[in-house]
Amino acid sequence: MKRGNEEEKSAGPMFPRLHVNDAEKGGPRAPPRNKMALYEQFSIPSQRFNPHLPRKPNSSSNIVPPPTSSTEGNGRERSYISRQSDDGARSNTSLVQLERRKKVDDGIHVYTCSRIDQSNDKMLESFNGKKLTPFGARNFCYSVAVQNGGDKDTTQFGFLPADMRKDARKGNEANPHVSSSRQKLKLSVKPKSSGEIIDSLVMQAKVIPNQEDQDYSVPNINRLHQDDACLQKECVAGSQSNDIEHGGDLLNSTRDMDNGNALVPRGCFHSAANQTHPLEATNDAEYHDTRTGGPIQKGNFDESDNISKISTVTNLSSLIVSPDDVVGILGQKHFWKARRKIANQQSVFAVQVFELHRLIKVQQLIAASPDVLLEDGAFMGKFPLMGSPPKNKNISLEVVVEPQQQNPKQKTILKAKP
Amino acid sequence: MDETAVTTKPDWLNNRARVAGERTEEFFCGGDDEEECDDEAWDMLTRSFWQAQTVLDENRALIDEVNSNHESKIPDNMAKNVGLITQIHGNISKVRSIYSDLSVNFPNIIRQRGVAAVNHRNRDGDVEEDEDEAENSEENSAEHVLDKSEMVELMAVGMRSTLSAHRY
Repeated sequence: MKRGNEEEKSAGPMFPRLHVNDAEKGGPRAPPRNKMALYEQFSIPSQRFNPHLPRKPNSSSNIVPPPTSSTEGNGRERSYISRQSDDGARSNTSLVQLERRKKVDDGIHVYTCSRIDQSNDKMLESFNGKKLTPFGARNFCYSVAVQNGGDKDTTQFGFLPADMRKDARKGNEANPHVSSSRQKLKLSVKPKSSGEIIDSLVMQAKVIPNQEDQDYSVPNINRLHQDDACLQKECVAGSQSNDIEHGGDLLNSTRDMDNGNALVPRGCFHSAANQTHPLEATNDAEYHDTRTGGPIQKGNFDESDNISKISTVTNLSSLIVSPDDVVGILGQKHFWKARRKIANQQSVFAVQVFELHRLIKVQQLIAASPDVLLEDGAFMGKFPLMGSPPKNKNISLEVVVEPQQQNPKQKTILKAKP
Repeated sequence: MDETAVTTKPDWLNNRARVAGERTEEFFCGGDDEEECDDEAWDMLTRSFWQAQTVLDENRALIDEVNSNHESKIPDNMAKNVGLITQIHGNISKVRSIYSDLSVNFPNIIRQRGVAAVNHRNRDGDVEEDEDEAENSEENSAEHVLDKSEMVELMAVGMRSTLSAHRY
């Protein structure tokens, strides 16, 4: 029941993309993709239930296939036949040999899946130790991701964005059809020799650590690492595309196309499960970047214009203030009157400043010299001689001690007069 | 800085204006627009001149009074001189501010008449003569000397006025 629920959930987002693929290529090719994915999904949980005995459950699954076993079996046979032809043994073989090879391949794939479940390090070891085709490894990786969606979100995140970006970049690089690029990848995989296969595995081994780093590092750094991963994959794609020229058989091309079609829905499934419309999101992001770039440049341009305008304004303001303008505004007679008036006031101002300077000096000198004050005291003393002497003495003392006090002096003068 | 603005800009305007006046005698002509501008600018100039002249005349009276008090040698009058000298210092500061305001506001009016000014400039020729330059140089040197002396005296006045105020 759980499996059925998962299928129903996955069917919703997968539908529109399948429709697009069907429209591009044709109707009859859709069913094999779905059935292949379903078969692999069913095969994995049996491994989980019996981790100690990986091969036996596979045999049981083969013995008891799902209701659409006939079509799935045909698909597998096609893939194996294509591999044999690629290896060079292009001859008809008995069914018994085919079945044996099927079992061996199934065991290998299951083993790789189990290693992947355990840890990434073992995954790397398996890549280096055993000769596995990237096609098979990718299939099982995707299927594992589907089953373990809740447990290993990081792995999903690590795998999917790189592939999606890779496809997007290929599209940008004068390849309008993403599916065509995928087909090229698939075509290039099978004609390879053992040495080339090892090289491709090494490249994948190198790629995976970058993905791991992406999961644990800052988002900006994630972008950088993802770019590196995409570059490495592009290198791999380049080498594979070179190999395509060597193996250009029609049969291989048709079968590889089928395999590519089979992979497409899985990729779509993962992208749909994790992110809605990742391709559109990436395109929107790029478009947004271009939009943000434009206004920034415009802003700079406007600022430079403003600066130049300000400088021109200042130049104009300095140029405008000129004698010709003043004459034009005031008229000749008023202009000359104003000029004479300014000159006159300026000279008077200078004279008064000089006078103020002189007066301050005189004031300070008089204040500093007590003799002048004493003389004033003597002058005042003449009148009191006619009157009482002690009053005269008091007045003179006050003058000497506190010269600022002036009111009592005035009072004495008033008294003396009457 | 304000003092520098007061003393330098008017001289610059006067010197160039004189040259411009001589050149434009032959081409001078008035119009309605110029009359309107003339009224506004001329009113500003006359108002500033009147204010400055009033303050200068008051200062002259105060200076004469202080001189007479010094000659009388009466202690009471000597004490009064302190206040009078302070007033003289304030009046000189007033004249300074009046001219600084004039140097700021008058050019602004001229800028507002930028279009008319440009037209007038186009009518006149910008050819310079050696005689005019010589006359300008002489006037510049004379006024420049006055400007320096005024500035120095203003600074000295400020210092001494503070000293005198502190003592008395």
